[in-house]
Amino acid sequence: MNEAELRANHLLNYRLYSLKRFPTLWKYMKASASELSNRINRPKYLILLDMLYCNLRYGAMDSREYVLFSFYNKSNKERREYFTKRNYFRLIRKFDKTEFINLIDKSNQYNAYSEFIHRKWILCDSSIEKSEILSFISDVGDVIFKPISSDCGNGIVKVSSDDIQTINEILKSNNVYIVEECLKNCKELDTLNPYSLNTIRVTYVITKSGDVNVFSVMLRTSGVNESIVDNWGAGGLLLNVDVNTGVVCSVGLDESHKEYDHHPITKVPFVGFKVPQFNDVMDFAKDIARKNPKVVYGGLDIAITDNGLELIEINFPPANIGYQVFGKGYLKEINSIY
Amino acid sequence: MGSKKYNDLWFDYDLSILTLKYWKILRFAWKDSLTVKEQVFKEIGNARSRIYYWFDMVYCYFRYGAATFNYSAFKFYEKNGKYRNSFLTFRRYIKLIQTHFDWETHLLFKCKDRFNSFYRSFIQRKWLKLDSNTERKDILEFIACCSGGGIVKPLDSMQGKGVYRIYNNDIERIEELVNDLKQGNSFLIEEIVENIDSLKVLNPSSLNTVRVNTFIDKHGNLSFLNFALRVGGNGAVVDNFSAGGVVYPIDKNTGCIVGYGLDKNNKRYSHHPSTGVQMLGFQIPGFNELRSFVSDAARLNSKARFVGWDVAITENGFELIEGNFASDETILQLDGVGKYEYILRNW
Repeated sequence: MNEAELRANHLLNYRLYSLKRFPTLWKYMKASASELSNRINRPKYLILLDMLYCNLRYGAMDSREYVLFSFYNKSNKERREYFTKRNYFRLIRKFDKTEFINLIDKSNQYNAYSEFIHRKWILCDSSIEKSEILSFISDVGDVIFKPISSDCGNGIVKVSSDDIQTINEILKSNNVYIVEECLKNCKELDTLNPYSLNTIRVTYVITKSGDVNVFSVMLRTSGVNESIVDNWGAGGLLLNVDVNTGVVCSVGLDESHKEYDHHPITKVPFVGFKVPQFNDVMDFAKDIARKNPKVVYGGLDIAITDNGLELIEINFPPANIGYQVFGKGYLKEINSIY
Repeated sequence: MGSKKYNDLWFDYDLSILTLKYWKILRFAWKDSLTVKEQVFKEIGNARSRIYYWFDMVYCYFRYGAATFNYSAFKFYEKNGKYRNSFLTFRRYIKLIQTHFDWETHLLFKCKDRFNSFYRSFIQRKWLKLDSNTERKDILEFIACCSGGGIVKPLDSMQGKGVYRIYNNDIERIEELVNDLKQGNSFLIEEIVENIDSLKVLNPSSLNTVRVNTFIDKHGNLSFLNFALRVGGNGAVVDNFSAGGVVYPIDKNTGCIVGYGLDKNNKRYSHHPSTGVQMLGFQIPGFNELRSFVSDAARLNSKARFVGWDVAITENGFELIEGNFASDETILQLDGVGKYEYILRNW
């Protein structure tokens, strides 16, 4: 069984209720409850009880969801609208299994959606000759090494073409990588943060009747100095974009729910920032969604470069937390799938 | 735990109606029934007894959700049940907001710095956010480059509370402001916006703005619910209704003032009280351009579906002062047309 299949099986067989996990859960719950009780001035035991209640009643399986979705000041009606982790695992079980396992592997993704991916890439596994990779790198210039099935931007490395030593080290480690060309932002997005690729995350569902419903668009940028990935788990910032107009209508949020008016490095104000070529991005996303109707709930990472739009990757399924931290739950949209 | 959130929203609104024990409405209505009686007597020279209006107010509270200030502002005393039922009253308004509440959009409109940043293409004036990191030097620099001083607003105040003018040579005020900032309060300082002359005549001390209520229905079409001109009271800096200002209804198509003005004590005016200018028939300058200006602003955010915009008319064109996400129901229905059913059907 390879890496991708292991990951898929882990997601498919994740236990919804488990006493085995309780000690770890309790540890994290206590930590976040004491932090919260300082912030919102409420007794710690009340928060702990509320967390347990939200876990059982609404399926907020870890305390992180309770904090990030601000369940502590939401009414029960609002809590009911959230797509929480237990619902997420329930949803995964309904997916088309072969397609799901297939698309977790990034190289299969790149082959399946090749018409939307214009950059050069090469699969780097045990079967390939080292000289082939080196010649690819000397062709393309700066490259990015991506582990084949990682999330949160873990293990992604940018290597310049003359840095032979690092390349040798990576090749020695015998992991399966995808080596691909380094992309550059278009001019407008470069003003936001020139160090990382600022991508647009489009989350969509395909409803029972077969319509593509794009319900959330987010702009992602890195908040850490000179970080090359914009993933939220790696210090990135999330900005919510109005689905109809393409204007950023929220402040930036990082993973610990800290708010940013301006970009911490470039000082560009976030609220009111206009996403360039927004209508094209939406059409592009809908084209990708229609390409494979079996991907009923997908998250697309789209980059806007000077040479047009580019699909970075497709997340099937995207994590449930990112698009719901702005104060609105999307369970209704998710329930329209099956 | 859930209800706590709305305390934040309504912290300086008339909370009495929300936390009302049922027996309390009797006392509120009894207090207000006298003013209603006097009002009716003034209008038609004849009024029923106070006890009649008291009962009627209590009935309207239970039947239509009308608060006592709704009863007198919408003239429920002379109308039948069908007319009364067409109004968006206070309880219905609260219910509407609670069912369609969007936290993110609420914050976008409530935090004035976010608002100014989002609608930057509709705002020409300079502005600066002041918080604990701001130094005295920055404030002085900002005021020096504004002609005619700046205006300081608390970052999340409503109804024009805590708003004052600040001048370059006013050292005490600046000192006060710096102390406030040190205590952790945050403010927004903005350049003074001047009305054009024809609006300045109405009340020179305040900025007189046009309130436009827009509504985006479920199909995404924009409609104008109503227009109103807000003129400040004598010597006031702000023109807010609850800070002593007078509101005049404007005709949707022609831009003329077509009705008597209303202030918060339910007095009606045909001439503005502070200057005595005749208001009925006053024409808003550049009304068609104003409509297109507001519709451009309203289309920028599709989640802000029910907004009251405050627009100032200046020498350099229109200036967006602020937006009110779900603006209040009194100004919305000042023209005497109930809009409850329209909003409910099209949301």
